Amino acid sequence: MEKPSESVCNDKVYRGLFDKHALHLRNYLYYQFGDMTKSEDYVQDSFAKLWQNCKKVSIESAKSFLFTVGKRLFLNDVEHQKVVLKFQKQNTMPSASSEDPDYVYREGEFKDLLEEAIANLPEGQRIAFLMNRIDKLSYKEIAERLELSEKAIEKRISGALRNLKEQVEELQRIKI
Amino acid sequence: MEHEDNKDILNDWLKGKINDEEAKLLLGEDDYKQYKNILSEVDQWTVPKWDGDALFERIQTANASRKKTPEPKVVPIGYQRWIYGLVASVLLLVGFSMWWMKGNLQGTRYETAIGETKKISLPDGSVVTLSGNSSILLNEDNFAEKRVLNLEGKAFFEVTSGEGFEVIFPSGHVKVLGTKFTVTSGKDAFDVRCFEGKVSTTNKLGKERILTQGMGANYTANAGFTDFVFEENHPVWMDGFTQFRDTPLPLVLQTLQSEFGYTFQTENISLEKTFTGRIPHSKPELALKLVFESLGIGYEVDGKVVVLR
Repeated sequence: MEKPSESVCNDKVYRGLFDKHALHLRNYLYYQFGDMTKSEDYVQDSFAKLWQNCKKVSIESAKSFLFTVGKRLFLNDVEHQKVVLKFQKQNTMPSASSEDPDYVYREGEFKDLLEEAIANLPEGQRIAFLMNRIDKLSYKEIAERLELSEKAIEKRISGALRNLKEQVEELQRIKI
Repeated sequence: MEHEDNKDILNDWLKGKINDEEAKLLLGEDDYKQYKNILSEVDQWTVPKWDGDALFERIQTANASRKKTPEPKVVPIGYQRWIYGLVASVLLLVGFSMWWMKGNLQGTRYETAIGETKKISLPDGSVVTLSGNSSILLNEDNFAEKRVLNLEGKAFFEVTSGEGFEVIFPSGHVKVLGTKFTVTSGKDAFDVRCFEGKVSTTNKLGKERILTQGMGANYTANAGFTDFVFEENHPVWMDGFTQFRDTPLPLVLQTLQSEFGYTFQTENISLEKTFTGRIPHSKPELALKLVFESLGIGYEVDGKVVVLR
């Protein structure tokens, strides 16, 4: 028996796809382009496109459809500014640095410094690193969304971390 | 100090293949601490707030505003809700006078010629089998969202489950969710049979009948609703027959017209009769004979015109 209700055109399926992918898609666009308002606009546009194509896009391919469309829409928008990323901080987790006085920075300072370093990362490294550390996606999940191999994601994430360390050391030298 | 093989060590550490203690040894204490600081900091971050519901609302509004055509007017039923069923099927035969539909609505129209049968897939996955000389009109852009269509003639609907499904015709409308049913309808009369699940049908005066499996009701402007039961498990017209059961004569004539292309001159007879019986779609002459002889109506065939007396 066919199951036509399991189509992207079905309201519930569509909402389910939104719940599953919209936030990750927004964050991905944010990590890439550093503009929250536009990221949400393009999430909206991507989902509108998905609705328009709901007959053609299978549920399985909806995720890559959304990420591809979202990125393409954003790239077509020529007015890219410099990436500026801002994050909120939960205060619940103890900071490892608090254990060692050598590495205690005043809260805000280290955050600002690291945000700047992250914005300077090559795009590929930045996206993979933040998807992993903030969205808590596995390498496999990131690889699926970016349509890359897990090996490539691994390389980008460790590359990002090395890059950040160098930048942080550099920035600390300048600022101290 | 950076070592070339730090790459692998970092990878192993990030993937949890080696623990913090091992990483500290392999990377060196200073580097390890710097890495750890970065990760600990980032791990406490969250993205700016996310209001998914509000965004979804916006998307829905945007999707809805893409509708190019006005929605057909629907008389809401209100308190009927059915949440059954996987696939529902609907058969509808709607009468001749559909003037009010034409011109008022835009959308896609599917039509069949006399004697032709055609299968149409709707955007929501439902399938319509159109009988001869029939048409449906729907707005394909928003159909998946708002499942309303207008029907002229006769059709078999296999309706996928989901929010509401409504078929509008001049003498009433049918609302379905998770059922199989048939409707035969004319300007002032219709006949509804439920093959599975549950159906609500409402006449144009707002009177409602709820039918479950094996139940039928017909309606005429004069007699109101009449209930009956039946045993078939699917509409026989799909097999090349039409099964009438106490069917008002105008609907019988409508079927003969749709199937065979006859037109009838009825000035000399009373239309206040009903017919029960089965006619084969492959034998027009036999069909006429079966209907009119059993009703005691004289008839004369002149090409495609039938004079009744």
